[in-house]
Amino acid sequence: MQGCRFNSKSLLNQIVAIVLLLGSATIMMSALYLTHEQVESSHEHIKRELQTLMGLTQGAMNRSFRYQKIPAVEEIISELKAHRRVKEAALFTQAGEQRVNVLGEAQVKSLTSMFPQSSEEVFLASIQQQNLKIQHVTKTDSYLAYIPIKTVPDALAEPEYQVFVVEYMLPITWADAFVYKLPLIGGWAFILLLILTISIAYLNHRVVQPAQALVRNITRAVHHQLDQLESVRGASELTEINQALNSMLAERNANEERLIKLSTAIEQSSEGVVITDHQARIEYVNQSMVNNTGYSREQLIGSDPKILSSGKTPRSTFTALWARLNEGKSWTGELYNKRADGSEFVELQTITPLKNSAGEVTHFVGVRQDITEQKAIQERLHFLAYNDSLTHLPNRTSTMERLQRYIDGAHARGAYGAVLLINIDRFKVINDARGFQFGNEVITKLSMRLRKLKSSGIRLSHFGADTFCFIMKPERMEKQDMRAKALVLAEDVLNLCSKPICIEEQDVSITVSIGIRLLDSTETPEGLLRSAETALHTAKDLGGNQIFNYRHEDGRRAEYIFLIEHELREALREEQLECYLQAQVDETGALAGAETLVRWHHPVRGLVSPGDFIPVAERSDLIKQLDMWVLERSLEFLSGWQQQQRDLTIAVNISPRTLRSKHFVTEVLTAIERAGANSCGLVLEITEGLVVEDLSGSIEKMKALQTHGVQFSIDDFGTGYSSLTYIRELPAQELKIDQSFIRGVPESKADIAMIESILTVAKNLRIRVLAEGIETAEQAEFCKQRNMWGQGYYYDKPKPHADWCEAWLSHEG
Amino acid sequence: MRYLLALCAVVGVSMIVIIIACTPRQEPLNIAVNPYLGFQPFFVASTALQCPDCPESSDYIGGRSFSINLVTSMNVVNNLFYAGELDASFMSLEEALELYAHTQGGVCIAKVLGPATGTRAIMMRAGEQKQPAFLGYEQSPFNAFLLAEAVPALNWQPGQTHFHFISLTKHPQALLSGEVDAVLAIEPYLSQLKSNGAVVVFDDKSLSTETYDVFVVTKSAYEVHEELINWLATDYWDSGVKALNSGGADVVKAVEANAGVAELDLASAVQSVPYLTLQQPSVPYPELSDLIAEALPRITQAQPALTLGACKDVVKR
Repeated sequence: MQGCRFNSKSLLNQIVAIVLLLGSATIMMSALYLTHEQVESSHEHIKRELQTLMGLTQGAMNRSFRYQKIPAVEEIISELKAHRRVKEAALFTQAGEQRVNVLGEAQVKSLTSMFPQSSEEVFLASIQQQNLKIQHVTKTDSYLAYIPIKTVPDALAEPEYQVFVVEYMLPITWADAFVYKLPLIGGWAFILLLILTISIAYLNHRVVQPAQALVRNITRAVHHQLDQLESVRGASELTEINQALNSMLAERNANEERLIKLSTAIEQSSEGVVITDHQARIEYVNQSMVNNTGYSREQLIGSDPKILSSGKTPRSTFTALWARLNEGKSWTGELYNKRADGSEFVELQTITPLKNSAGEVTHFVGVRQDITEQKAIQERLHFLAYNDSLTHLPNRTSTMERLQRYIDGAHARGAYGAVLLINIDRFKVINDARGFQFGNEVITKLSMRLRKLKSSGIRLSHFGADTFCFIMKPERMEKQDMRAKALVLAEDVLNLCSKPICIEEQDVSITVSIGIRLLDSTETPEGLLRSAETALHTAKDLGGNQIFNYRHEDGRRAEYIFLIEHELREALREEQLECYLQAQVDETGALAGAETLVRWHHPVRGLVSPGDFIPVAERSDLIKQLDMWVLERSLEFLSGWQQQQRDLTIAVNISPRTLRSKHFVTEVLTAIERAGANSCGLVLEITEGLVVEDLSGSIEKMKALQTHGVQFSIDDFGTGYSSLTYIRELPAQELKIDQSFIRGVPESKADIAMIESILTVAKNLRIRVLAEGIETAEQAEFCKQRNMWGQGYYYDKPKPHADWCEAWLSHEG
Repeated sequence: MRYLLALCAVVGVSMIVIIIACTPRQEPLNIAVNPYLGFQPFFVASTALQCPDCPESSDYIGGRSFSINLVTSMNVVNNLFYAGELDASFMSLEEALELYAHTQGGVCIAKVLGPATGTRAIMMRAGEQKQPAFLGYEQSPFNAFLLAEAVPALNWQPGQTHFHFISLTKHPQALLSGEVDAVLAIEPYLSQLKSNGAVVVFDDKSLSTETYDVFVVTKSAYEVHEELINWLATDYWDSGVKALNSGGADVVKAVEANAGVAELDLASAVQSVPYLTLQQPSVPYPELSDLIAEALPRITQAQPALTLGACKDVVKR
């Protein structure tokens, strides 16, 4: 029944109604027009017919009167009256009285009585103008014809004019005309109906059905039945609307999905989200907010966010917050709040005002993150960043910042302070001996002891490992006064450290070295610490347990060493180094071989002394490269000699660091092989101090190379830890007596006794002895008498390889 | 689709209703007769008696289903018939045959009124027995027949009498004024002349055969107005006859006005028209063919090929 219910608002019904109305109106207008045309045409036709008829009648009556045939007039009138269309006819005098009384008329009548609708004006006009007049009488729907008739009473009389009036009925009415035109109207109506039917069918197909499909699609879209959407075919506008609808639905679907994702993300976010209205009344909180605060959603909704306030958030925070929000900007800051159970927490909150299209703030969105733990971690990290984890004393970074502040203050006030860098002497020994844990205990105890020296103007720092630092706050005083004050503090430190430290019921004695650098405004924090470290190193170099004030020349020296190290690396790459040879002679004074000595031809500084760059090289691994470079050149020399069948040795200095290299043996053998030399001519000179530091390792490597024929010489023998014990252990073939002993020969009995002792040991151990630094003939003779090899300026000065070969080998040859 | 069907139905029904409702107005039956007394019942019924039973309908042009016009002569009737302006008229059978011939058989006979005796006669002033030099008459086939039989019967010499056409209404005046020596008059002018001393020298009773008057209608009119024509020929006619027979003053006055006469002795005049009595039976229709066969020789323009008949027989429906 619902489907049959007429819906006046239906598009189809309205189209049908409109088309029907238009069609009916068109048919009616057409019918009206055609009928009107027919009526008008009939009127015209009747007028012409009437004029013709009346014209003939006028002629007939005029002739009848002219020939005095009155019966003929009567006959004409009676015949005319019998005409279908003639309702009445009568002849009237000019006075309007009936002239001829025809059959059936009992008496004469007047014009107005016979023709009440007649016009006297037209009546008279027809006489005066002698013209036929026709008057349309709408009331009776007829025509009145006024026909002037000329009568001649007798020959002598003037002609008289009378008027023959005829009322002629209009044979056609609107209804008659309509019926007359009905076939045409019907045909037109049929064609129009056909057109309307086609039009309705077309509109139904092109507009109504697509519109209904569109409505169904919208209904399905409302019920989320998007898979049931049907295609719309029809008018392009409707298909475009459907396409727009589909696009809109797809976009809406995507938006919904995004909205759901967003909503889910917000709801399930680990961060608390709260939305308030512009009066700061909570409208929404997510689950995280509920979980974090302990309040239920119902408790929070509608409440003021102050419900969470612990009262510990600084007032300035709120001032800044509202200042930002009132500007329409976001605010991010920390709030100290409390939960429902009273526990407090810190949260980082970003509050953003939401604006409507008019730019008015309607809501505030707060994203809150509980940063209580994070805050603690931050503080811990901050502590660790600026403090030593072991001693909890300020670390280097903190000290640097402090120094910067002090420097700035000193610059402003023209004051002086001091930096005391403290390092435990030989702490590595403690670690190696007792382990790191023990070492940490030592450091901890020492730090606690040093803390006693802290005061308002003295800060203690721990730079890690075994290094501490005191910073004395700049004061307005003379430079020497501050130095003296620093020295007092350093003395106090030394005194404190001199007392044994009890660890694990064991007393440990330590000493410390202290480097002092006065603090002034001309230096940077890095420079101050570097200077203090330089002074510290100097104190260390001096044997430790000392206080050393930084001097500027120490700084320059350190800078020079740094520069030399850098340039030496370039020298190795750019072949600025050259091997010089100094001859060695046997006990007979004959050439036995040579020692390779490295020389540096600096492009700017000129010839750099080995005493300047070798120590620098020994501070780093650079010495290993240098040693290997010299070794390879020396092996090339040796190989050349051996190819010339010369039984010579070549001595090469090996630094302790090179010897300690675990690849030392391999690298030496590789170099020998690469040079194609016989290893029996190679003598590696090592210092006894080096061997002592790692006796077993050194012996092992020496033995390994010895098996390949490589000889070893103990350089500078007698100046260090010379011990008969290790001499016995060492697989050395040569002892090289330091030139300091030779220098006293033959005057110094002590030196001679020393040499004699060495020679006795060597003889017993069957080891060759070489004296270096022989500069005089007496010294040379002394050595020969005792079967010692010799080396020194007396025999030869170091020369470049070519020069040396020229001097020694060509002469020999 | 149901809307289209509904639309077609509505428009179709509307068209049918309009077509049915809008039948064109019909032409009223137009009748004209001359003032012969034998035809006066029509006028008496329609004009004198105001025709109370006459049907009025807006279906007809002019609002009346018929109109009856009085014309002065048969010439006028013939002219109107020829022009198509007339649908019916009363006339003699001879005149009907001639009309039938001139309209190519377009008319038929709706009613036969019976023989008239003594209603048409040649009259002369009293005391004048010689052959008239001038005789007034109205030209018609019947009059020509009557004169053709009267001349030898009265021993008139051919060529010595001049025949003048005079309108019917002028016959008494023309004879009494001496304009003519004799007139061939009809009732009621016949009675008027008698009352003024004129005498009948030859009338229709002296004819060799009886003559009849008939009610003639066009076939096309009969097709449309058969019922009306039958009503006019019977009930309407009878009401007119009844009125004439009653002889009332209004009837007399009406007849006098129609005929243009004064002081008419209507009762005496009516006696000469026997078919005006209701008791006069109509001539049986099977005899009509005999009447026509007898009348045919009496008309000069007789065309044997044409056969005039009763409307009910010759009009196909």
